[in-house]
Amino acid sequence: MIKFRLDIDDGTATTSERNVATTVAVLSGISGIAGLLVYVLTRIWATSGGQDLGDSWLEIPVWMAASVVVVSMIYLFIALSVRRRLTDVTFEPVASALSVYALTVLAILLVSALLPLRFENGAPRGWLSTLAATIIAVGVIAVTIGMVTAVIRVLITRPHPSTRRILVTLGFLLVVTWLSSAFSNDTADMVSALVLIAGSVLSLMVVRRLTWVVTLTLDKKLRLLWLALCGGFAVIASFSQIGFADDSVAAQSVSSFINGARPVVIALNLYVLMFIVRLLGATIVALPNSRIVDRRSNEVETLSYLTRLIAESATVDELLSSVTRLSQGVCRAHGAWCETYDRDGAHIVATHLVHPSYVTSMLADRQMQRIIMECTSTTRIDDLRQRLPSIVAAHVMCSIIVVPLVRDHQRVGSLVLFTTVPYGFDRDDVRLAAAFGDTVSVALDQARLSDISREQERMHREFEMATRIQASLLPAAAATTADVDVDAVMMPATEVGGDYFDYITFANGNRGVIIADVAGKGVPAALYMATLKGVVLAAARTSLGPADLLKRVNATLFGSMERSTYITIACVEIDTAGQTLTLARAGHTPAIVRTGAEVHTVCPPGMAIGIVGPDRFDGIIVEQAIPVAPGDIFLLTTDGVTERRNGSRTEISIDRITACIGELRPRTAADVVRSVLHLLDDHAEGAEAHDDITIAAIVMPQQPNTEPPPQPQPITS
Amino acid sequence: MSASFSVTPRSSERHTVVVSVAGQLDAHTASDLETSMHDLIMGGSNRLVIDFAGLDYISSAGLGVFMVFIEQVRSNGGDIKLAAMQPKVAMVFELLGFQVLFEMYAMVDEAILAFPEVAA
Repeated sequence: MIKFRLDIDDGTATTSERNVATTVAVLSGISGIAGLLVYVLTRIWATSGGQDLGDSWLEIPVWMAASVVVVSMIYLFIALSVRRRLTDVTFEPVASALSVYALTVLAILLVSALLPLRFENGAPRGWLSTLAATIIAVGVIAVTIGMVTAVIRVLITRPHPSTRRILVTLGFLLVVTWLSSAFSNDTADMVSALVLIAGSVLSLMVVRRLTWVVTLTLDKKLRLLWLALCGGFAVIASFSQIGFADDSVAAQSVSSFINGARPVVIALNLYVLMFIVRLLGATIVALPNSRIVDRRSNEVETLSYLTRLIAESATVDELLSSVTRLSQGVCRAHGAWCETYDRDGAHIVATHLVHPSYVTSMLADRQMQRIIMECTSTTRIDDLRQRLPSIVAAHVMCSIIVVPLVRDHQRVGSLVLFTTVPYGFDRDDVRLAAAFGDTVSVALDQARLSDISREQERMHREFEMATRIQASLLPAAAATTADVDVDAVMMPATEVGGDYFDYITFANGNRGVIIADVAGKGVPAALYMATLKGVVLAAARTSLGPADLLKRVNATLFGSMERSTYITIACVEIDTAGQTLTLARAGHTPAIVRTGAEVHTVCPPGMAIGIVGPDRFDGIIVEQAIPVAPGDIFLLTTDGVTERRNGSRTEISIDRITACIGELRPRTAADVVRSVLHLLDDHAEGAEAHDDITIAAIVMPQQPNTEPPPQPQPITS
Repeated sequence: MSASFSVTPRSSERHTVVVSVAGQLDAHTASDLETSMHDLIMGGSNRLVIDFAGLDYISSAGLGVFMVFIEQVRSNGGDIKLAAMQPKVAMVFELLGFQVLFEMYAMVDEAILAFPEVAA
């Protein structure tokens, strides 16, 4: 048989199911012939052993068929167990093997007890009896082999260095047992008994590693215990029928099937019994720690579920609600709630098995609230009644665990678990609740970080758009014409700025340049800047001159601006016919003028827009006419230019700017603007600009067109 | 990098409070000044003299602080008077036309004496 198995192992290891079927067929043929041979040999053996022979020739085909079935079964069991070796012993294969074994054995024994079979001298009489006896024998042998295979699989999966040696020895003992039946009854019994004792000891030894039983949950342990008891009962029942009752149908069937099969079956069942006994022992020993195992496996499951929950929760509130529910379950609390804190105080975001209003009423007590809010780490209070005897709620929530929730190193909430009995929590509960708290705190941090990055991205996009919009509010190209050369540039310090410049046309058709600086910078300043543009454009068309325009702008904006904000504006009208520039200044940085070789600042009186009403503003602002000649330069800046700082916070001096203007040999206004920007860059040495920078330059043409332009173009429309 | 800035109020004659500002008054430090001024005015002080002697720099945000409170103080019958400005700071005020809005004095004492006496 062993030789066969080895051959089959080699043959089927790499072949398909079809090959297995072929092998089974070939084997069956061989075993059929072998069965016949065995039959003949047994007959001779029986005759030599003094046993009576049956006379029915029907026995031969039955015998052959039975042999085929038995051999095929042994092959299948072995082949399958070799091919599909278990990677780990789990509860399921052992439990199913035990239940199948117990059920089948008991069913066979029941059938054999009920069937009225006739036996004469240990052999069945009549073809019906022969058939039934053979079926019973094959059944007993098959179920025994099946169970033994299952046990071997369990043993092989977690082998010990001596496991294989002992198994081979057991196999050898089985052969000895079988062969010993050839001797006379007394000798056979004695040898069998000795071999059985040795086999049982060996089979006890081989079952060493049943540690997997310890890790089963209580429920599974109880089921295993029950199944092992059933299996044990089945073994004992089969002993009573096959082993001890010589004249029982089952015993006679097995004996008549193969001579000497009975002691082999008994031996195998004994080995199985040993295994079952060990299994029972291991299960019973492992029973007391079941609660701990259950707890641990529950904890691990819950924590892994929590991790999944964190990944899937859409909102923080949803997460906290799930966490409250989970922690209540795993810590075996009678109820739980979760509260968060903000400037308005504490908010109950989730409750489980307790009504929110109850929690609210409990938290209304300052002492209770302090106990919860002042916990810096997970805290257990065993008997709240001792701490707060005055609070009725404390008589219901007797022991509590408070888990602080932390986000960005700040206490943002608490998870509170309670039981209605004092000393309702143990150290493990605290540890587990703390683990929950840590996990949730990490999740809250992650949520915050992702919120921040989303928000930053949104802000970034909006600022990009704002920058583009603001740029579109400013003139895109220089307003240079034949009779005047104008250019300007604005560079905000942040994404958007509060500086503004524009080219305008007055009511009289003269063109002008306006430059403005809203106090402050960034978004608020940019909003005023946009408003200012609208006001300036609306007022310019009907304004008689720069001062008139600024008065109108102030009248419009005064009262509608924030108290702490103001706008400074400088506005210049260019009269090309008279070669005069007219400047009005509403609190703005002085203008710089180069007439001939002389550079000076021009600073007519006037105050910033939005500080006082027209009644006072209009009386203060004064226009100043500046006579200019061809080649003269007129420069308007904002204080971002004159206050440009370098790395050591030194402002650029106005003298450097005037000196620069004095030395310029420019051809165009664009050259002037570029030169001033260069000067600022030289000074700043790469330091960041702290204020918006705007430069507007006017250069009077060298060959002025003395005739006024036929149609002044509306530049700003 | 935001340079040091300090606000030091002290009571003086004629029920005035002299608020000494020193350092750099810009967008970052303006809120400090605003808080101090707010506390003073809420505390009932309506006669404020701002001592600019130690102030090296003032930005538009710093200027805005005085505008926030001037109307309230005046409606309560008081005033904010500015005193002892360094020339550079004074120029910023003058360019903006703030001399129309605020009384400016060369000396702190001068500013205090500009408040009428009160019958104690």
